[in-house]
Amino acid sequence: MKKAFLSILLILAAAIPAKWHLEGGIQKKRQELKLGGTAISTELRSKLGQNLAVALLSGFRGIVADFIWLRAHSAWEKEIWYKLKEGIELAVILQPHCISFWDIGSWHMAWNASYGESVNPKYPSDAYRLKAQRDWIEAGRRFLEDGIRNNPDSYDLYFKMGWLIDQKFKDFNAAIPYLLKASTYPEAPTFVVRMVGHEYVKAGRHQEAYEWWKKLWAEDHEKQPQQLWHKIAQWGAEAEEKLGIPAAQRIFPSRHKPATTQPRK
Amino acid sequence: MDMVSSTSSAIETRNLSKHFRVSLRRKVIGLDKLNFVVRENEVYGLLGPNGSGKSTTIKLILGLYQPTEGEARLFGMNVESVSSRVSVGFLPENPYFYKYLSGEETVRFFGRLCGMRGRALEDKVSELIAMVGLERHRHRRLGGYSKGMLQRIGLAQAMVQDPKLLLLDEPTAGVDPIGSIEIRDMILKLKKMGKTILLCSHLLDQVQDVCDRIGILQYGKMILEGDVKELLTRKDQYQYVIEGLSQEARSQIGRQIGDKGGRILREGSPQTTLEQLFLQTVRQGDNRQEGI
Amino acid sequence: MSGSQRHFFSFYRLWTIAANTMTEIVRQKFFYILLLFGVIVLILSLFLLEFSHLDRVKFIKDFNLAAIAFFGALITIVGTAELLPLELENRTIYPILAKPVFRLEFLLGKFTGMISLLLLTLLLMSVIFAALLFYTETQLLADAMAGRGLAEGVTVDEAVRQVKAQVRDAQLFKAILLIYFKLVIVCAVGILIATFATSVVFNVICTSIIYICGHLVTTARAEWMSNQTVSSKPMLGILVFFIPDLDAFNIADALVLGQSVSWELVFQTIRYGFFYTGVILLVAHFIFDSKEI
Repeated sequence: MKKAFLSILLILAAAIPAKWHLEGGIQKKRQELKLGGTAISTELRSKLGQNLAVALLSGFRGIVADFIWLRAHSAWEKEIWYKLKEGIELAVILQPHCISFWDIGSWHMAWNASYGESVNPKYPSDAYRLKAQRDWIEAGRRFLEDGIRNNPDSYDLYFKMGWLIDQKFKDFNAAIPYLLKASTYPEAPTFVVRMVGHEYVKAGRHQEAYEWWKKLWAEDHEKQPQQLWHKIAQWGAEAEEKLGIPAAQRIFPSRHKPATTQPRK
Repeated sequence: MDMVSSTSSAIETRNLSKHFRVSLRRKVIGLDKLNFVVRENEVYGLLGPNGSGKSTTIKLILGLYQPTEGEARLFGMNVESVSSRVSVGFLPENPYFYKYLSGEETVRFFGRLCGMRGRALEDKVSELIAMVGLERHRHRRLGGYSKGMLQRIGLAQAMVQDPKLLLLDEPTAGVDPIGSIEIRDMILKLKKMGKTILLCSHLLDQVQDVCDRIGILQYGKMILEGDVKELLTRKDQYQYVIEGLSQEARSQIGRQIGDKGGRILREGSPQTTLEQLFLQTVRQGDNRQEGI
Repeated sequence: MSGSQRHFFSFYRLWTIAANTMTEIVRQKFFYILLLFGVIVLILSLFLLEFSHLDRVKFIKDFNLAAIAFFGALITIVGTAELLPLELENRTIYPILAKPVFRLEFLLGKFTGMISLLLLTLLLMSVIFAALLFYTETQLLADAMAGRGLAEGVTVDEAVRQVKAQVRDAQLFKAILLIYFKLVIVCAVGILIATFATSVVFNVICTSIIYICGHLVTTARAEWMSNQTVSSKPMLGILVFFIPDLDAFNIADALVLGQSVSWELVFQTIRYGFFYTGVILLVAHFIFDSKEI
């Protein structure tokens, strides 16, 4: 009995420092990889409520976030906007790397909530409605900014920001940097790249739009089978027309000869 | 490596003691400096009232308990070594086996635990099941076994690795008289096969029938030990059982005994035992059944 | 068989006990009930989706991984708690230890039986999970082909590729692998508790508490290193120095969000699991070996 007790003490004496060391190594690597979400503070616990907090403590972060999201979703259906925002914000606290939470969350604020408020009969006048609508659009924009700060590696949120500024602020010049940034990610779908050109057109910067189409056109068509090359050819030709580029300098095939473009599969 | 202290002893204990701690201060003595020897190929009966230390002794011999003092050896090998259990088979009191295994699976399981495998194991399993007479029930789960059948499967598993020594703890507890007789016969058969047997039992009749020697434990001490026949024979008395004498001849002999200086302590027709009556009746019943 | 034969630790005997342990658990009701519930819950995830506008793939993955972890933990905690106490209570351990069997073989046999069964259980649930993912993919692909729900400018090809990339994530295997090793630790903890506590209920409660606390170790560690106040140190110390860091095994959430987790980290975590399990089992062995049965 005594022998066993001593052996156990010896084992623990050796094992505890080893435990500390091994866990330290894993945690360092996890932090580098940005695994695990926010630490669970008392405030967060009270916001979640007993059951969800226990679930969260037991390592079920994803599903807890999903349920919070469902709660937010039902707040949207009931058009209780502040509750919707609360739910969305809690969900991203739990999973700040969930892109769709940021994406859909900002859409809820800048589109759904802002529209809801713009037709809210409870406000005494249109001035109030306009104010509320603008506030929600601004909230959506700021929310998306937070999302970008948390996920600088994702093209998606840059694109969404560009789109939000385009749609809700009509400030095409301000949208362009975001779309440009989004287009630099290799995993970004082709429409993101095309969007930049359109945005230049919308902003009236036709020269830059033309340069953009030219730059795209110069890429290896084989490597980008997804790209709508015939469309780019068309837009490029339109730009050449508009800018009055001399025929000798034009590089885009004429609209009447689509045969030279990459056929789509 | 293990010194064989005496080649003829199957079990040997030296000052074997076991104290149990009941609370921080109090201790209970379960076994107190027990010294006893079971020789090879003898049937030894360990008797004693409940709580006298029989089970403690068996657990110490099997290495389930650590002795507080002293030691026990099996065929010269200290019981603290796992190897000592190669040569011992154990039938626990009220055999506790997995209810979800069949008879055959149980014996096979214990055979594997003894390192047996393949053809040799399968042959042994069949042989033992036949020996204990459970062929018809070999595929039934133990949950549906009667107590007698459990004892028999217990015996089969105890013998699976063909040990030289068998420890039988209350082998007939809860078994009907016929089963009990069968187990007794089996013990005698095992002795003939050269096995050594340590038997713990309350059924003294049976102990008397099969044991060569007995030891009686009380309060953790051996208070009587010796050869059964010697211990039970009253050397100052003598007994006839006579058949076919008339009343007159009997009184004549009685007188003669008195003349020679003897004194008749008891006379009359001997009664058969209830056990024998029961067995006779039941066997007749069996015969009638088979006759139909 | 000669009595003078020396005996050494044998994997054959260990596996005999392990196989029997699996039979034992499989023939108990609780196992089927939990497994059945687990499977029902997995399938339920499809129907829950009907009512939500969640990211379907994220939800299916979150839900299924959580269900696998949850029911795996339940089966482990309840199953392990019963292993030794049942043997002692039904005294089935006596005839076993009366054979030439090392107690370590018995202990490790019980443990191996439990974790082998756990492996089969997780495999079964993973297969169902994969089937549900496949079903979801078929639906999403059908939607994409029909052009339903396509964002402006996205071609059908791109949508199809996106769906496939999101659904067919081989990394999920890593998540389930680490869930398994987390449960192996939980099983070892249950075995350790069973070597000194005979009550099944006590064991279930203790193991559950350790399971939950295990997910706080990362936080506690950070607190231990930053916080200098003395009052909370003893509690933190227990967490930091004795309780296994189970949160380290959680990569599911990150993988579902598309973050990548290197095999290096996975193996590093598994090594930690082996280390902790080994220490726990060693301690359990010393207690069990000197136990009077």
